[in-house]
Amino acid sequence: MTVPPEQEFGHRAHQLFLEALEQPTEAREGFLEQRTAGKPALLEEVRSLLQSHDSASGFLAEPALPIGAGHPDRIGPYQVVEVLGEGGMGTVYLAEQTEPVRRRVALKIIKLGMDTRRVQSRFQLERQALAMMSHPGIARVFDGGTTGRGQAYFAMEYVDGQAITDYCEQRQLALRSRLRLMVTVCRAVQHAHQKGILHRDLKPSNVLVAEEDGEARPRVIDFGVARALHADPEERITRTGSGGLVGTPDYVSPEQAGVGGQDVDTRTDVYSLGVLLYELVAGTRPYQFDSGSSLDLLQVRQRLERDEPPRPSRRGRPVSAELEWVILKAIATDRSRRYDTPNELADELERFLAREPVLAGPPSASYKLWKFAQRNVGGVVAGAAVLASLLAGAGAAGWGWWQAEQANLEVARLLGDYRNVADDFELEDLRERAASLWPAWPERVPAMEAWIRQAEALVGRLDFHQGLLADGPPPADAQERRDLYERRLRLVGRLVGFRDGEDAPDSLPALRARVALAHQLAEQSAAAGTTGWPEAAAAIADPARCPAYDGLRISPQAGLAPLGPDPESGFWEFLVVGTGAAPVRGDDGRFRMDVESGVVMVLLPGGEARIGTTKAADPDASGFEVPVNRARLDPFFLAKYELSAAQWWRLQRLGRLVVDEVEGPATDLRTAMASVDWYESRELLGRVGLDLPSELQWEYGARAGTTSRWSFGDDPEAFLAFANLRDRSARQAGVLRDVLFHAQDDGFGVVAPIGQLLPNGWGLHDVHGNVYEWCLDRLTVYPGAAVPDCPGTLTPFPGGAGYRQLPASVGEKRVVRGGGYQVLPWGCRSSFRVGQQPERRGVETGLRPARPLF
Amino acid sequence: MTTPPDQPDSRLVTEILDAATAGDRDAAERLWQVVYQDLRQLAGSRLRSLPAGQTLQPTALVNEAFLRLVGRDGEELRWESREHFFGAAARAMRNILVDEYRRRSRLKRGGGKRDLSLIEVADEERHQELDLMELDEALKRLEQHAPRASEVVVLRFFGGLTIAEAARVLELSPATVEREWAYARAWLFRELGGAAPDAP
Repeated sequence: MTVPPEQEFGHRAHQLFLEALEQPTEAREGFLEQRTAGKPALLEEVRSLLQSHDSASGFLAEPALPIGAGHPDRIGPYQVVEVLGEGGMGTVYLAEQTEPVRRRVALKIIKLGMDTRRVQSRFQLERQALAMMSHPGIARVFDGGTTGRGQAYFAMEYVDGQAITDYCEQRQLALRSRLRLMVTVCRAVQHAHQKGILHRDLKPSNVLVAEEDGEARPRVIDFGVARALHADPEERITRTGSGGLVGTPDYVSPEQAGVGGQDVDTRTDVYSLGVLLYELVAGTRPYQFDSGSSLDLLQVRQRLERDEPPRPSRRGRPVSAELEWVILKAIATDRSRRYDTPNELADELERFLAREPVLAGPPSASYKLWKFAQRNVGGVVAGAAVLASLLAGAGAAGWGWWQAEQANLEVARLLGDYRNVADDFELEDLRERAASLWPAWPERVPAMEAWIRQAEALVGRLDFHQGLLADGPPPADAQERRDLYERRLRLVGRLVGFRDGEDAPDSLPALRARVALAHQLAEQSAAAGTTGWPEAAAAIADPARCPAYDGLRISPQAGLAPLGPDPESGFWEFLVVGTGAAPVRGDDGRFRMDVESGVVMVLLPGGEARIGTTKAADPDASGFEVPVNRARLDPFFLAKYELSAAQWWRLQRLGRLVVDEVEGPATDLRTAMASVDWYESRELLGRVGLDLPSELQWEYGARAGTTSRWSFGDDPEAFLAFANLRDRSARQAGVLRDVLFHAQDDGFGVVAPIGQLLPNGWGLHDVHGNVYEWCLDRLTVYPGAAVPDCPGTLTPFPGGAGYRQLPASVGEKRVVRGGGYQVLPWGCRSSFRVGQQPERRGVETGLRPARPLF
Repeated sequence: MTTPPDQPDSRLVTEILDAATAGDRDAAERLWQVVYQDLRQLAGSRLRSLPAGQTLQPTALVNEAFLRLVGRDGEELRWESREHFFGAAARAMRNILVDEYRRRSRLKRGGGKRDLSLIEVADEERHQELDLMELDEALKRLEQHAPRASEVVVLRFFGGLTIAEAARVLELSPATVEREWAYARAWLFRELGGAAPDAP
């Protein structure tokens, strides 16, 4: 068999190459010269191949297709124990190291065909710094290397934990616990920053929570890995798009996405921490980029540049204004508006946890104006530029008086335009902030006074705007000037309303009244502090006097004044300061509630709460009412009565209720307030530090320790004394068209004044009938109900406040409880529950306030 | 449970695999045919049903083919047979990928609209400068004087096999496979212009 000469040449070079590889590197040249004596071309060929060999390290290093199953037994010096997970970036193994120390490590093998050498050299750069990190909240990176297949790997401390988001959701962790976890995470990241290391890829899967000695310990993993893997952020995102190297771009900061063309710094990690915080609080991330589709950097960048992050409070879970400001500050697109360091974010969260005022505030008017200018670059910015040039030019020598006059006129016009727009925004901003300056407790007075000073300055510019309107509308053909004129006209109208409008809750007089109210509350609280509270706290803590409280120790509660124990139930009751006068007791020892009476809260002891019933115990029970669930509630306050119309309007108008003014569906202001939606109920209650009860709190209070169908027993006919239902009076009132009426008569046709009927065992009136009462929770079946795949069924009732955080997928409806004046007795059973759209104002739906014990 | 009509009988494939493993050259050829047909069909249908902008995971593709072809018998399959399968799949993948690459290049030249294909995934993700058609041609040239080295590339690069796995398929020592692999990469790298000889 003959072989073509060139093939023969190649074959010999091949063989020589293989043999040369077996020689030690330094001996190769001598070996080759000896073997190729007299064949310079062959020597040259093999030399060239060896040279190519040296530079081809990354070439074909990764398979075109990662096929073939099975995992390696050994990686570098590590013995593989098991696979911990496989992700976009690669595979993570649990492995054992034997030398120099015996320990378990997490080995992260980088899957894709990255330039292994560059990854390694970048890792080496940071290695010294990584070794210096020592913090309980940081999992250490021990080592980095290259596997036999040329893949980069990292060996790090093994953390047997769960992603922080999963940990919190699975355990239904309370908000405060979540925030405390975040504080720890922030402190850990701060430690790394002090050592000069940025994380650059903070996301839930890199923040693991392990339980040690029954305590949740968050740990940040992968420090230094992102830096080694991705020299530049561009790489990170494009790789994510084409196959998921990093997983999700949802946590990528704007500067990493290329907004503003800046490099990353500590605020980059602050941003990602902010997104994490957002997710822990709101249950969802600000942006969800569809990682399933091909995603490019540009798309992420545009989105981050263009859109304001959606407010956490609009994502379904209740989020207080302060916490929202903190979150929005942490994830500001403009990083100069963020917290500079993770420590600052942690401090802020601690302030929030301690109920101190936070440093963050709502976005300011000037910021909004700036954003507006960005969106309308043509108008405002050009105007400002002309303004600047004219101001400069007016002072220049050589100008005639006429030119100067023209310039002045132009300056005045532009200044007016600017003011027009700026004041519009400022007004809007002030009104928005007014809504968050609640409750009217004394500690908010400085913030309210600052608001008033700003509002007064704004109102002070009314003359200026009116002066500009004096010349009348511009000619019809000057469209732009006409628009501005009309805009200013509207602004003046709004400013006048803002200055004089007593009814609007966000007007200047309303805020002045709010400050007065806060001072009044301070006085009342101070009076109660010297008289009522020490006695109340002593009585409640004394098991001999108040056995139900089991020695509960409480401190004075802001905004509440003790009224003394209820003669029947023995539970202590409190007036919500600012909602009206303290009611007086009648001969029977019960309060006589009238138009002036304020909201009375009952301090309910903590204990095991029972919710739901069984079909066996209650033939009327629906699928939504079964089975029985139990959870331990903390002590809390629940209102003794449904909120009355008078109380509602007083809250609405800040204690300046003039009875004649009120036009409402109810003629008797003592009746329970109805026709209110869930959102406004919560907003109004928030003004005095109240909220709606969780469903578990509601049923706990309604049952008052009973397990019967009604708190008054199992006999429906007994309702007469306790509940305003669909009865003969209702028919006589003529408001109901249905034919079915209960044979009995409770004496009330429609909604009844609060506190007219008998209370349950814990002194709560009207838990059955009168009006349905809003609860916080979304409606879905209970855990253990016979609908196994219904979303939310597996979410158990948590202890504490009992609020069951359910995904939005269960639906928007919120639970209403207790039945209204149109129901028959079965519709006001303790376990009875229905859902109602939160924006619906049902004529039969009102509310009963609740409040946590601080 | 009935077998879907388009699914080859897994017992048949297992038998072919066994025969191929035992050294039956016809069986090896039949195995290659079956694997190639199946992978092609699978890739085609997955690509067609893929929403715009989405990518396909080739690993999943081959594993799916393995499950389809060998099915539950795979668990009892001897490792030699398993390697045989992945060896055949590697060769099949080489053809499919190069074909796809060629088709796409034609479309690009012809101004055809952007067409997502299998190769694009591999291309954009990992081998941005690698022209698979050139590689294929170079591999054919390599095969002329160093067939074993070329075989190692097919198994390692297109098949994703480890050195040890490739050694089992080729019935060589891992050390030999390692050196052949080094040679192939050096030769191909130079051939594809990666390391131009020093300019005179």
